[in-house]
Amino acid sequence: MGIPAQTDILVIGGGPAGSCAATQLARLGYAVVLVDKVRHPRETVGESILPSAWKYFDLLGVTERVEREGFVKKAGGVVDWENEVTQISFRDFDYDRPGLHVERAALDHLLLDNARNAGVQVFENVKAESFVACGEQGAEIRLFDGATKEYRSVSCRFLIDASGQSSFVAQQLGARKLDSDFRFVALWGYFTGSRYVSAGGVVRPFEDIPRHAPMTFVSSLGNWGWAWHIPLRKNTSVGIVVPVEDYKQNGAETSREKYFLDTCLSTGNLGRLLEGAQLPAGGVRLMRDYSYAPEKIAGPGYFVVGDASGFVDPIFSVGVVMALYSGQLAAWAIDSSLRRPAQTPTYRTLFETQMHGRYQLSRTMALPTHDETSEAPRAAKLYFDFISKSEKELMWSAASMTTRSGNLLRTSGESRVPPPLKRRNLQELRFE
Amino acid sequence: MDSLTQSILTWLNEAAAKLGDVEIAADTELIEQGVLDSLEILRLVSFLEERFHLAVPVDEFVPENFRTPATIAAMMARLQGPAVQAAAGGH
Repeated sequence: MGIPAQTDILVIGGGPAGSCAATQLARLGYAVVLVDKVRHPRETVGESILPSAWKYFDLLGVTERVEREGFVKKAGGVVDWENEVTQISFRDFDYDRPGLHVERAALDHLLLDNARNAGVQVFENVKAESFVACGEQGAEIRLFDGATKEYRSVSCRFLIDASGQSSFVAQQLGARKLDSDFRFVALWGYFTGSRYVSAGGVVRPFEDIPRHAPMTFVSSLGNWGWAWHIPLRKNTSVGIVVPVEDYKQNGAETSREKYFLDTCLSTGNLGRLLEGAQLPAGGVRLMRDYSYAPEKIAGPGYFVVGDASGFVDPIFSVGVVMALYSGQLAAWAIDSSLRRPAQTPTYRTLFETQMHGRYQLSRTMALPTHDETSEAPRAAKLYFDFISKSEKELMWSAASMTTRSGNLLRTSGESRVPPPLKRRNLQELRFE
Repeated sequence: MDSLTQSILTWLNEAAAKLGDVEIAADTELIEQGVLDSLEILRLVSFLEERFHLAVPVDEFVPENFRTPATIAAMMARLQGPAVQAAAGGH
């Protein structure tokens, strides 16, 4: 079947945010077309998933399918920040389900299949080229079908931009801002045979994963960087986030691969975890333009969700949950707007306020200070006061494991007594 | 109990059924206890707007208004005005 010329909702991008919004709207009875420029399964980074993701899996009716997939269950996080080793466990925060370490190719494919089953018309290898028109009456988008090599135009009542880092709408409007407080590059790769950190900081061989749930391990790196270590089913995702200047000075002289390996292996506990582990040749990925935000995340006829709506240093693993949340939020705003058209501007504003607050809160957690004169602290605080006690405790405890928590404490501290820090000091990892 | 609070509690108890054994009363701390997140609050607002034929202005969307079923009912009553309240069998 070909791409229809007209639909209620057109979604660009088949990652978690796009699939989530599309599924929800199809279940409400709307005609939904989703296009993705590539074919799934496709590889992407961002493997650590917080337990709050299950709430969205429930909403999408995909929980059982995710459970059956058998992703690695994680029990919490262990952080080595400037040689101080601390741990948080999800079960201390009222979560009855675990966090996950997922191969994103598998998770994203599964969510997209779920969208298809809900009635979404999915077209892969189809790229969004340009806006033909966009306004209160709807949008018209020009697409390029990679299979037939033909251009098509699709009209819709609402467009959802879930195009990830390509930020389709922002690129079209020329409104994508890089975040000057986060001038970083990320490099990562997938090691086989790495040891991993389990509860209590006990280091175990890779084969023990089914019997002893891993922790996401995070380490500080030099002055401002950090590293992640995320055991998956067959290998371990390891990445470093370093200042652009550092990468240029020390990375340019050698190969990208050597710079990455040297940095990993010379970083205390991370280096020890990787002793004897193998990194496939040519297997190092690089991401520049590390943090950014578009100037507008909603406008007449469109909503922007997931990474396309802003990307913050992912140190606290919020990416996929934020994507799912934003997909649900856009679905709510669109459904409400179509039911009560006169209220459309109100629903758009509520979408923007919530998204902006959540984005600013993530940014607040990842930055040691921010500009007190901007509206950012106020936006972050408004969103912060919409979240539950146990979720606040989790954010608070997680932020306190790094030296970046000052901002969050200031943002939230004005209103209430600080929640208890539910973290445990481990002194050191236990290599046995 | 007035019909406003009753509608709110009915909706919430259906929403909370998905969350397990949470019994919701007029003074349950909805946000603090994690019964409602901001997404569910928006869904509740949509429901109330349709049920009571009114529009909740953007400025009312602050945590204080959604702390408990009673504070939500108070906000709705304020938005409805006295005439509608009487018709709905309120105070």
